[in-house]
This record gives sequence, structure tokens and C-alpha cells, in this order.
Amino acid sequence: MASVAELKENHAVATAKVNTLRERLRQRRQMLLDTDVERYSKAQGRAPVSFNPTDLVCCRTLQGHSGKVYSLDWTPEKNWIVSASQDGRLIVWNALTSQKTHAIKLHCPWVMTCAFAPNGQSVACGGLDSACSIFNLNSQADRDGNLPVSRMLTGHKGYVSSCQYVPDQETRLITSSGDQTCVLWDVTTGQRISIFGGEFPSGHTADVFSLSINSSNTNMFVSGSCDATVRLWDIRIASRAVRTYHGHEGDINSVKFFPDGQRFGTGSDDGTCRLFDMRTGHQLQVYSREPDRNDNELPTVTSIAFSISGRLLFAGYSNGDCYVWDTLLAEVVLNLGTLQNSHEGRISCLGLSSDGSALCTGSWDKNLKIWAFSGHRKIV
Amino acid sequence: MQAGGGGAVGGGGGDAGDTRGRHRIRAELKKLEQEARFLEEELEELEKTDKVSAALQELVVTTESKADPLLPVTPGPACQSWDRWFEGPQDLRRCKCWFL
Repeated sequence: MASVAELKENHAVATAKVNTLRERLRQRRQMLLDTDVERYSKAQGRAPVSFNPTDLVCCRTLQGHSGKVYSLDWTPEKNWIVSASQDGRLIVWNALTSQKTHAIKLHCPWVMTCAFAPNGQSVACGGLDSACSIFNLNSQADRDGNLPVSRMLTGHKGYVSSCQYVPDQETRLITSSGDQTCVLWDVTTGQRISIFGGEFPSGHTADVFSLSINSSNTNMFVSGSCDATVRLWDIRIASRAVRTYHGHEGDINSVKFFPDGQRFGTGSDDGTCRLFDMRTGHQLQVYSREPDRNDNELPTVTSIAFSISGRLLFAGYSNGDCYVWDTLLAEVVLNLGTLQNSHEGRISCLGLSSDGSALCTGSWDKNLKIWAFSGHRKIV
Repeated sequence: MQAGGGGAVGGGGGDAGDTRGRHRIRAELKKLEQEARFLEEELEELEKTDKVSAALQELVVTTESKADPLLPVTPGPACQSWDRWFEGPQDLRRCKCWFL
């Protein structure tokens, strides 16, 4: 039997081998980066996106939370939104009328994420209780007027940072967690179907903050982590990540698939957003802010969303900015944070309605706002 | 990100301590060997991967061909419901919402 000393020597050799391979991969990938989206699009003469000052306006302010808004999600159909707040409640809104249809008091007030089920009949939320709670919106309120929990998904060993139902499947949901794993759940039984990461190599090595399921191929999802990487998973193969994407230099706070499902965007503590190609692993573009003239610390990216064509990338920052990036030309075409009637605090979450006609932003100022295009639209 | 090195084996505990340390180091070694295999596979795959430029034409075409209600200039077809956010009060008889 090998002695401890021999094993330690083998361990050191294996560590050096892995580090060498990583460096070779990084260099090989660098050689394949012959251009990026911005340079390619400019060389092709693509026309820039140009907004008039009153094109994108705030057309609704949803008031009702008494604490910071941390998360929001739209229904796939209808115009409903669920939001989660530091006040320990979920609120379900009709975004068109601004009316609240449900206010759900949570057992654990430290909620971080919420999601609508595909049929709009249930909502899920999770947070520091390390569990995901499911509420059926049609169920009878109890004596105190509170909606009962219809299912608790327990098993994570750390906080639940993000949750999303698998599109078109009411019974399956994926969570991401501070325990460095993602989990696929069967909502009807409360059982874990698969665990992504954890004991297996190729899992994340730090807290997982966000996830996004590919709506074009719902077997695939990506997760973003404090280990500065994104990992692609196939829900049928939990034992290893399909691919790991390097590039960011800080915690990844938000990941979202591009509308065509072939690429995804990220937002990070390093102050940048990035666009990656899912299949090849290439980093296609970096969206970097101009440095602050006063040399203040670079604002971090808290959340991102793509418009329905992918031409616009919405990015919320820790200083209250909400940049609208032209994804092809890598230019900021608008800052929702400086528009009239904008939020008075950090934008913590963003989401597009299913038809792409409206953007909802949630903020630490306790409000949600709906933004839509009110200018003259030219159809080509 | 560098691969983490193995921790030193704990002192006191004699043979039991050595056994626990041996198991832990062996488990970490297995993980590292597995990771090295994954990385080698990825390197092989990368040898057959196209440069970034090969993927970008498709991205540009896809992005510019899809109708987008938030763009000032967009391909059609436009949808009347895009502008529902600026229409007048809804018909409350059909609205199922209620104030809390």
C-alpha cells in the first residue's frame, strides 16, 4: 500500500499536470479568438441602434413591497409578475393593471429568488432557509389570510440563490445554491432527481449564484458561480459538466441564455458582461463600462436580460445604472437609470415579458417598474 | 484558477490518523486524475474547433432577423398587443384581479 508520503507526492504531480493542462487550454483558446462581435459587426457595417430620449419609458410603477426587491419573474403567458422582497413576502402582480393579486407571507423572510410555474398557477421561492417553497395560487388562504406552502424542496446544504421551472414542465424545477451545486427537483414528490456538482469533479468550486435553462433545448442549462466560471449541464448527465467557461475575473451574479439558445450572457462582480458561445466555449464579447472619471470603484453587474431578438442586453449595476447595450456593436445606447421616473436605488433583478414588449426592473428602492417602447417604430 | 493542493495530514492519531489521511489524499488524487482526463478531452476537442469568426455571421443574421418590440427599427411582423402598455383602462368586467 502506498505510504502517505508517496500519495502526497503523486498528488503534487497530478496538481501540476492539471495546472499545465489548464494553461495549455487557455493559450489554445486565445489563439482561436481572432475577433469579437464588436469588431466583426463594425467591419460588416451593421447599423447602430439609436434611441430618441423618450423611446423607452417607464409606463408602470408597482408599489407595495416594504423592503428591497431581490427577484422577479414573468409568467410565460398573461401579464403577471411574481416578485420577492426583503420584507419577507412574494407579491403577484397584474403588470398591465398594476394590481396585486396575491401577497404571500413567507415562513423564512430571507428570500433570494422566485419563479413562476409555466402554467402560472404556482410560484416557487428560496433563500437562506436552504429550501425551495412552492405555493399554489389557487389554494385556500388559512385563518390569518396566508397562503399555505404546497411543497417544500429540502436537501440543499446552503442558501438557494436561484430557481427556475423547466419550461413547459410544471413538475420540474432547477435550483442553484451556496452549497456549490444545482439540483433538478420533481415538484410533485419533492424528491431530488439529480445533483449537479458537489462530489463529482467538474462541479463548481464556490457558491452558485444563478442559472438559466435553455428554452430552445430544455435539457441544457448554465450556472454561474463565485468561482468566476459558468458551467453548462445536460440534465440527463449529472456526473459531469458538459463545458466550463472561463473569462470573468469575479463572482458571476447573473447568467441568461441568448434568445436563440446558442449563446448566453453573463454579468459579474468584475463589472463586465460577457457573451459566450455555448457549443464552442468561446468568449465572443466583453461589455465593459468606461472607467469612472473620479476613479471610484467599478460598479458590479447585478442582473442581465436580453431583448427578444438579442439585439439589446439590459444590465443592472450596483450603482443604480441600468445600461442598455447594443449587443452587436458593444455600445451603451441608453441608461434607464438616468431616465425620468427611474429607480432611486440599485436594480437587483430584470426580466422581459414573454412577447418581449416590456422589461420589468426590480430595485432596492422597494419598487418594480415596467418599461416599454413608446416612440415611433419603423418596421422593415 | 489553480488546482488546490492537498492539505497536510493531521498529527496525533497514529495509524488511524494515517489511514484517514491516506483515504482523503487518495480521494483528492482520484478527482485530480479525473479532472486531468476531462481537460485532455477538452484540448482534443479544441483542436477541431473553429475560430470565433466562424460563429459570428450566424449571430448577426439571427439577431437582425427577429421582430423586437423594444427596437426603434425592427423586422416585422409587428403585433398590436406590443402597445397594450399604453392603451387606456382595461375592461374591468373582464379583469379578474382584486385589491388586497
